[in-house]
Amino acid sequence: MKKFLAVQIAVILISCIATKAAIPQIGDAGLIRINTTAQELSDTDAFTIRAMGSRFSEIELTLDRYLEHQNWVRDRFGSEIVVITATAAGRIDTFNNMYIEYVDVLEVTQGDPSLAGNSLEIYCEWGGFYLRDVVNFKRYLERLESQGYTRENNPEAFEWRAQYTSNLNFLKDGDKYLIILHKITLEGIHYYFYAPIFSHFNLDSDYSVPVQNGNYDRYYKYSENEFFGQTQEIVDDFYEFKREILEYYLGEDYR
Amino acid sequence: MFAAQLKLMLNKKSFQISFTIMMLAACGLPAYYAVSNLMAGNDISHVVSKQYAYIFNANSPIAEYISYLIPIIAMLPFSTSFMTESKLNYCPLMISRGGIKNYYFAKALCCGLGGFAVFFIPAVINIIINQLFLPFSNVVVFYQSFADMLFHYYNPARSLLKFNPEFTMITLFVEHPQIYNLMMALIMGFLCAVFALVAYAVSFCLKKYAYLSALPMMMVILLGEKYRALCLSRVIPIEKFINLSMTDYAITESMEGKSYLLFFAICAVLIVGSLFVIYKKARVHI
Repeated sequence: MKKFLAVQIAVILISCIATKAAIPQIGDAGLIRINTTAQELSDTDAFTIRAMGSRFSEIELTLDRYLEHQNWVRDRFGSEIVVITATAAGRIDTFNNMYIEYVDVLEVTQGDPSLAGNSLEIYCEWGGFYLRDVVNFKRYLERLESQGYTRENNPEAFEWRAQYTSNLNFLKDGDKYLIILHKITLEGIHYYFYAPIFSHFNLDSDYSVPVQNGNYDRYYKYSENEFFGQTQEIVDDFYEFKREILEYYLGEDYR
Repeated sequence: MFAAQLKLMLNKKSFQISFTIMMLAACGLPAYYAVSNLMAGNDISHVVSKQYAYIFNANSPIAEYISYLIPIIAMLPFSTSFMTESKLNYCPLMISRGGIKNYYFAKALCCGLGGFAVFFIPAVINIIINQLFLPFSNVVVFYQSFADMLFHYYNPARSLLKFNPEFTMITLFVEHPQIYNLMMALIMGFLCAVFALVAYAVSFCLKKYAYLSALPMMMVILLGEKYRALCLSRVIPIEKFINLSMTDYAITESMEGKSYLLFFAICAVLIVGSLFVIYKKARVHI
């Protein structure tokens, strides 16, 4: 019996020592924080893009459908729609599949006018950089293989990289934007978040080039883009749609 | 009588071997995950998070094969002891000292306890090692983001349970995964105690090949798996699917379609049936 107990204790001790030695000194991180600046994000090739691959007409994205969707989000969350023009404050906190952007409000088109002149932090999930965890990555690979993909034919698809999952880029430092937000109040605190659809439009720039290699292309190549589309037609669709949105919220003389 | 049987079980080679096997698996798995992480360049996003590293998580390399081995490992500690003692003519000696019923039921209790201990203790040690040494690095499957949090906070009745109605105790799994794992370890221990008890009752009917006493519970597991396969291949309408694979009820994140009421009802039937067989055997012995 003593021998048996000694064996068990030895097994536990060896396991503890091996695990402790092999695990690096890393803190807990419920959300993986990508601890870097926007410039560093632009410079690294570690991230792929999820570029939009359908024409707006194919997915029937019109101004009316857009407004319907914003109202659907409002009803689902019990939120209030807020429309502002603001400049990006040059700070982004990125987490896994979520980020927080900071803006300085210039004008309020819809919502509480007293927001003008204030700084806001805006939560965005359903987007930003997304890195699957081990379990989800295994499931993703199984799904790929069941769909007939192989490592030989599509090596990029099997790489474990973080993907930038939004069709719109981060706010560009110093640029002026029209931003459509949702406000929710919990225990007296106001939270602002983007709906999972185009939520901000750059008023200073219309720069976007098509993403050549679809979803496996690298983010750094297109980090100046406002929008990520796979073809020039899709990019043109976006700017046509953007013109309609700006006219709707800001009037025809918005420039 | 119970103390004597317990002492007998603890000194039995088959108990010590099965316990050591489970202990090696439970303690080896975190080390395996840690070393795999080291090989992958110490990447925080690569290491398996503490809540998923649980030995009986459906995604662990061990849980994949353990389903079929559980009845055998549960039987090993003490379920075949009656046959061994009969062969060695050890029973009359024990019975003369403690009484017939005491002998049979103390042995039954020890069988259950042995089956429970062999699975529960290593699983708890596995949870402790994971908790102490592995990071909480993965994103939680549900309730991972700000909007999920808002949605949950704002109207809990409409959130997690609405989208995952079949996941039993999903809130506990999401908010306190290690306590959830501990609860699953308890269920695993209980299930193995039932398997050990059934194997003990079955061993009365065998003249030789004591290890065949694990066969009935293996058949139960295989039938559950077969029923699931028929449902998934749509031979039986998927709407009628109930998870009858007993081991899935004790494995975290295993296939859903579970009814814990049914699970405990089946366990109760197995316990009552086994006790009845033991009682009858004791009566015949008188």
